[in-house]
Amino acid sequence: MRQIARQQLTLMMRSHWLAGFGLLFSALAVLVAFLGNTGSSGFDGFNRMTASLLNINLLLIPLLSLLVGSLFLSGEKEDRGLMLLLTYPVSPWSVILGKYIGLFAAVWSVLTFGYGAALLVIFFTGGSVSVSLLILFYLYSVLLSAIFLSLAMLIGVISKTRFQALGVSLIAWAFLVLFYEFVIMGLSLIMLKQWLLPMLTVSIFLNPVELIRVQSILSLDGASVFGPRLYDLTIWANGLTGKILFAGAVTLWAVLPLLYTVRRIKRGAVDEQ
Amino acid sequence: MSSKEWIRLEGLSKHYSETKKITGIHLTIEKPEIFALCGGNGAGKSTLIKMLTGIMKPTAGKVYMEGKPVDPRSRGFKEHFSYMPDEMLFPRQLTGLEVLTFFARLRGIHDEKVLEGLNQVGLYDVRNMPIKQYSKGMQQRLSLAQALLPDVPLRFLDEPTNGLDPFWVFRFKEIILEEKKQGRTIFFTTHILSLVEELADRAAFMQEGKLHYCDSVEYLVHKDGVYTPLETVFFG
Repeated sequence: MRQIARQQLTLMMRSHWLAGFGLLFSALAVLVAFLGNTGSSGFDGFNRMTASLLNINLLLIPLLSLLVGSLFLSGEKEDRGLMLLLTYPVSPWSVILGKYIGLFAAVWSVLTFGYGAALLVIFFTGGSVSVSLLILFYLYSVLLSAIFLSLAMLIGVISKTRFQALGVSLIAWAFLVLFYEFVIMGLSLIMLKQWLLPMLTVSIFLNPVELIRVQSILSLDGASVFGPRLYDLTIWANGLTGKILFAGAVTLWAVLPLLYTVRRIKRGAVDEQ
Repeated sequence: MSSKEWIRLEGLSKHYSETKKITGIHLTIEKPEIFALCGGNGAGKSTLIKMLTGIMKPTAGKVYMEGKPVDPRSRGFKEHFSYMPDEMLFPRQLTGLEVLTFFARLRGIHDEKVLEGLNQVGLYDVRNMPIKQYSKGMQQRLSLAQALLPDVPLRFLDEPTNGLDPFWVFRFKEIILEEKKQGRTIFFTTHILSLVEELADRAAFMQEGKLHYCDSVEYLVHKDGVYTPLETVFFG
C-alpha cells in the first residue's frame, strides 16, 4: 500500500493540473486574506474574511478533489494500469487505499500551501485574525477534501472513460455545491412547519458540503447567521450529540464510497469496457 | 489429471450478451511449455486471459491448479504468474526506470534486477527518459520487462509483439525460448500464426468465443501427413 500511495503522490505532484489548481486556490486565499485585512476593501474584518474563505473552500475543494481523483482513477482504468495492478498479489483494498492516500496527500499539500500563504499575508499586513480559528478552518478544509476524494474514487471506478468521469464529477459537484440548497429551499416551502427543522437537520447530514459549512460556522461562533428560527438547531449541533453525529457523518461520507469502490472492483468494474 | 497438466480450465464462460460471449472453454496448461492462443480481433483471447488472471470474473466454470480448484483472484494464485496487458499505457510523467521500480517493489524485487530487466528489453539507455517520449514499441518493451521481472512459473502475455519492430520480435522469441528453458510456462495470445509455428509447443484457436482447435503445433501442422501451415489448418 505504501508503494502505491507513494507512486500516486509522485504522479500527482508532477501533474500540471494540480499545480494550476494549487496556484488558483493559493491566489484566492491570499486575496481574501489581504482584502479582509485592509480597511478600504469594504470588508469589515474577521467574519467577512472567514465567510469568503469558507465559500472558496466549499466551491473549490470539492471541485478539485472530485476532478483530480476521478480523472486520475478513470484514466488509469482506461490506460489499463489499474487492471495490471490488480493482477499483482496485492488486495483491491491496498490498491484503492494506497491511491486514496496518495491523492489525499497531494490535495492536502495544496491546501497547506494555500493556507500557509494566506497566513503569511495576514501576518505581514498586521491582520487580527485568530490563528487557532484559521487552523480549525484549515482542518475542515482537509476533511472536505477527504470526503470528496472518497467520492471521486467511486466516480473514477464506475466511469468507463475519463470523459465520463469528468461529466459525472461536474454533475455531482453542481448538485452538491450549487443546486442542493435550492432543492432544500423548495422543499421547505411545501413542507408542514413542524417538519421544517427535522428536514433541515437531516438535509445537513445528507450533503457533506452543508455538513462542513454548518460545522465551520458553528465552530467559529457564527451561529447567529442562521437566524432565530434555527436557534434550537444550533444549540443541539453545538452539544455533544451534535458533535458525535458530525464526526460519525464525516466518517461515513469518507469511508462508505471507498468501501463501495472496493466492492465494485471485486465485482470486476475495472474491466467494464 | 494427466502427468504434465498443471492448470486446467473447465467450462470457463463469460456472458456479456447473446452476440458477445465466451462459452465453455476447456483447456489445460502444462509446465513448462509455450502455449499460443490464436484468433482474430474480438475472438475472446484477451477475455480468456483476463479470467485467468483474476481481472474478470467468469460467469461459469472453474480453474484448477495441480488438480485443486483455485480462485484466480486469490493472492495465492497471483503469486504464481505475471501478466503483460495488451496496449498498456504507462503514466506519461514517469520515467521507464520509475515505472519498473514501482512494479518491482510491489513484489519485493531488488532494484538491481530492475536495471537488468531494462537492459534485457533494450531500454537501459533511456531509463531516465519520461514515458511520454517513448514510442509505442518502447512502451510495449517496458510492459514486457514488467512481466519478465518476477521469478514466477507462469507468464500471461497478451499480444506481446504488437508494435514491436522486426529486431525486437526476433529478440522476443529468444527471450521466450530462454524463459521456457528456465522451466517457465508462457501463455500468450497473438493473431500472427507464423509466430505460433516458430515458437509455440501447443496452440489453440478461438473464434466467436469458442475454442476450435487445441493441440500441439507439431500435430496441427502435420495432421494430414504433410506440412500444412497453421493458416490453412485454421482457415482452410
